[in-house]
Amino acid sequence: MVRFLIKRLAAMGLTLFFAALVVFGVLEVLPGDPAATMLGLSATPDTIAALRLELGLDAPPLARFWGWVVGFFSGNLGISYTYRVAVGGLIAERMAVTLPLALMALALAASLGIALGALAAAKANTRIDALVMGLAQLGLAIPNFWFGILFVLLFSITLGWFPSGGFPGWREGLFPAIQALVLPAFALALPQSAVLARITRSSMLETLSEDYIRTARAKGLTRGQTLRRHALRNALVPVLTMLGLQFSYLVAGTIIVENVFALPGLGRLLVQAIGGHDLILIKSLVLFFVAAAVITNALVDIAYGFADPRLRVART
Amino acid sequence: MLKVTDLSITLGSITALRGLNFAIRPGETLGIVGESGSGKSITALAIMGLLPKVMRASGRIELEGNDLLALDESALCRSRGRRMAMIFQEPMTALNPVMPIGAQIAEGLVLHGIMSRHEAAEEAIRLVGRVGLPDPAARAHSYPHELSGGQRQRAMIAMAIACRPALLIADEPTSALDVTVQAEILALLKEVREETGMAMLFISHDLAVISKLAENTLVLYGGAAMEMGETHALLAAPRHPYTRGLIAAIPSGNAHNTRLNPIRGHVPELAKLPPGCPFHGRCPLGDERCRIERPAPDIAETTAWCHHAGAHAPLAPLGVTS
Repeated sequence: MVRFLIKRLAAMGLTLFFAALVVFGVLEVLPGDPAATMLGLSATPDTIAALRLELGLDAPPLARFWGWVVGFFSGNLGISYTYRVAVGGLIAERMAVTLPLALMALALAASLGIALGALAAAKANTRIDALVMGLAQLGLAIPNFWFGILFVLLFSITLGWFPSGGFPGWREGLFPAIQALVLPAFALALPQSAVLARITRSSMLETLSEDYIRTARAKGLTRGQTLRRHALRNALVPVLTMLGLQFSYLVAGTIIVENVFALPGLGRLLVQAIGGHDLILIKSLVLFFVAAAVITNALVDIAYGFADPRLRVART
Repeated sequence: MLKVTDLSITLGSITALRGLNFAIRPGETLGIVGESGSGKSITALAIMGLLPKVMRASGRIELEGNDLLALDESALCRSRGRRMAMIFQEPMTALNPVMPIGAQIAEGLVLHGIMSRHEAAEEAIRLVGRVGLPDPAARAHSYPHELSGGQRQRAMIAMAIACRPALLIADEPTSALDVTVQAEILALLKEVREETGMAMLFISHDLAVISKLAENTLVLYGGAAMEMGETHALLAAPRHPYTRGLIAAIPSGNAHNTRLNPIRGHVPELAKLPPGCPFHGRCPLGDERCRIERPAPDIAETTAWCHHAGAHAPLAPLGVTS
């Protein structure tokens, strides 16, 4: 298990390194002067030269890449051109919105998806099954921003239960902050929970026809007990894979949903940074999103080992 | 102890088992032998109340005086694992791969309220040792994939006998194992039977395996009883042509240059069975009466359901017709 962990973490580090190389290469080494790109068409040669100096573009690319990677660990990522504040601080501040949002959405998607999928499997080929799977089909077909807009119409404008957008900040207390995240989290989670419900159902049905389910029944467990104690954990291995992949979609989804709900998170920051040609900010933000996806996948792989003991041997 | 009366199992319009009768006394073993599709496994599942939903059982299955077919699901759950337990053919797939075997053994004890969680864990370790696994305290934490096939079947037996059931059903418990391991598992089953005094229903397609364990044997074919009686009588002087064919088909160890002696023909499809004896189409003695009329039990040394089982019926040559 320990060897497996070390191997997995090393693979993760390597992936991140190559991702950083690609991001850096695309934005800085490819033809075109970053300073000119950032300043737009109306820039004078003087201001471009001043910005080049500020960005340290005179240094060789390798040195700048190294400086950036080191900065990623020390938190010193330079000053955002549009915001005029440290990129590290900016990301940390925005993360306080996006991370809780993504985690909330993930928790919602997982609990909703697994519960509904298990229910559909337990009641396979009944009306309940048909209803759940029908809803899942609908959830798959509707994109998250559309859910967001519908939620705002129903829960904010008509019912007034939740704010329609914006974020009060965590300093205003836990409740208003969470209240502001509920609708966007649901909007993000619903399409994902639909995917999870479908996978859980089919995985569960497959598991329920296994011999050890009959063994459990022969021991005297009721259908429900068998489902919860023996089938669910076995059925969750493929669901876990999907959950890991989905976290990347969730993080990407925040880019859209944060804009629908005007949340000051990383996704909205990225859109604004792109709009303002703020290459310094974009570079670090993109790597940050990549890191989130890569780290999640590593965590999922490690979680496999806990869910299925057979993999602890097979994967080392 | 276990008394099965007129047990029939239907799957839609198909009759998978017709009018089976047998009884097992405490401490006694009944062997059921038959080819695949003979109805031996569904008999076991019917007793456990675990038949697939599409199948219907009728008749009476009495365990310690209670008619299991009349019990509701929750009452059945209380009996399963506690009063009757079952061992399955495939130890590879019959154990939950993500649960340590100790936990799987202890589960039934806790479920039926026999022991606390802690006591059950201790008892599981004792049982793991009882069924002959080395270093029981460590083995109890092993997962099924860390054990060999024979070890898994031992774990399976530990699980089945944990609650000291009155009846143990073993459905082909050795068929998936190596021959040497087979003998060990049979010996173990014999030991635990004598220790606990439980009754056993031992199902196999292999008459040789059954003869090592069962006092009485029931021969099934096409969902109907062919012959039943004390195992040694049935083996020594089989009265039903099918039983004779089964015995003749066992390859003899010392004659390597003789031809194998299969029963001619194939097992008929259950849906196409005629009203009479299911074996008549392959039977050397089969005639028009066998096709139309169900044979009544002919009781002598053994009970044979055959029109031609009269004591002086000619013993026609069986096997390959060439």
